[in-house]
Amino acid sequence: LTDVYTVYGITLYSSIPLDLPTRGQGTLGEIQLRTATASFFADAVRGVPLGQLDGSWYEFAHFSDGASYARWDGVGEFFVSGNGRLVLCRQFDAATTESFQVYLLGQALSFALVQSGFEPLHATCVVIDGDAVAFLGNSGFGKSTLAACFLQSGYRILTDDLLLLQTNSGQVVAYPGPARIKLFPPDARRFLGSESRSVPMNTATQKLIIPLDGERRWLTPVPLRVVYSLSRSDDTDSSTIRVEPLSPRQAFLELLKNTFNRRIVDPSRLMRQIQNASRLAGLLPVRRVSFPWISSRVPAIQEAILFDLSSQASEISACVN
Amino acid sequence: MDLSSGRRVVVSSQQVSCGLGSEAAILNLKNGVYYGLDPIGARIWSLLQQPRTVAELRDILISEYEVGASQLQADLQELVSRLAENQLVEIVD
Repeated sequence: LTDVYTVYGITLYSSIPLDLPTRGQGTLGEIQLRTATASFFADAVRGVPLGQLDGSWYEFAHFSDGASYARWDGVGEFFVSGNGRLVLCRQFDAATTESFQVYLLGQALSFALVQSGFEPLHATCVVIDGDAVAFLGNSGFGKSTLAACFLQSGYRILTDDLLLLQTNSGQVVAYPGPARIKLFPPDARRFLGSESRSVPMNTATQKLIIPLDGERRWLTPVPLRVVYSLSRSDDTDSSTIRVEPLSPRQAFLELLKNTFNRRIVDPSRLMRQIQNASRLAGLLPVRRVSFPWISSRVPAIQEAILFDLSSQASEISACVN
Repeated sequence: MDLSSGRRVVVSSQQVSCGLGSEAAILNLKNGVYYGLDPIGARIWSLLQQPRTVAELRDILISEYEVGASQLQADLQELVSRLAENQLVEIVD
């Protein structure tokens, strides 16, 4: 049995029930998701050296035909075909369905997206006045926490973690991801209240997966208005929050740094990456938000971003007038 | 590095570059390392999109920037040497 789902503008034909919209049609591409047995995966990687980053619980391999293998202990393993059109997966017994789907629809799917010719970004996106506003930053820099603060103020989330963009006639369009956010328990309680349903992400982190209901998620593609790169300062004595534009070169580097999948590094992918990042750097305002990381200051960071957005709107209006 | 008058500087086929406003970035496809060029470096890189000698580069740039010939020659030699060390250009006879 196959169900049809939409995420990141992609149609997924899946034999696995997914917590994704079944309405609408992903127009950017099609990917098949299928389960496979433990013996299939054992055969696939037999004799193949698995790469592993120091201290990581993530193992991966690449095959000469472009196919990829990835595995997370306690979660599951995934095989992605060389053309990116097929993802085979196996959920480990210890994993919750929610945790497995986070990796399936994030890390594992990123291999398929890259192999299909897309360049996903590691970003969280909220919708403000009908436009997407993206937050870039290393893991732990507060992208999701800031998005949760926006949620508390009544804004909706377009995607948390993986952002797929497409350029149409000079306009950059951002596509919706799975309707969930990943937060640490104190941030979840603070911004979303104690009534939020949640599931632990995995045994290595306290992060929670929190599903977003209809009032908190945005389900349709929207133009991307601006990208904010979060720059966290260790100087907690300073209370200054600064928002400043980045030069095209700085913007290019920020976009490159926040590419979602860094494991695929064949020349054709690298060439596409540089072309994509330079195109986006020319089309999008990319601005740096520098702030001391004090959790009580998150609403002030939100306020600074909203002020910056309104200032930009005023500048545009002034130019038009 | 021998950059004497007859030798030409040719961009490597194992790189790809892009303009970023007045600056530029180059990606070495062999090792996946990115390099940034400031506006003057980006101008020189654009001139290198066709093979040229350092002397030819110097003759073009001397009219574009307020710089002495010896200083320009030294700066060019240093930049071209660094580009070659990082396999972004080749020096050919």
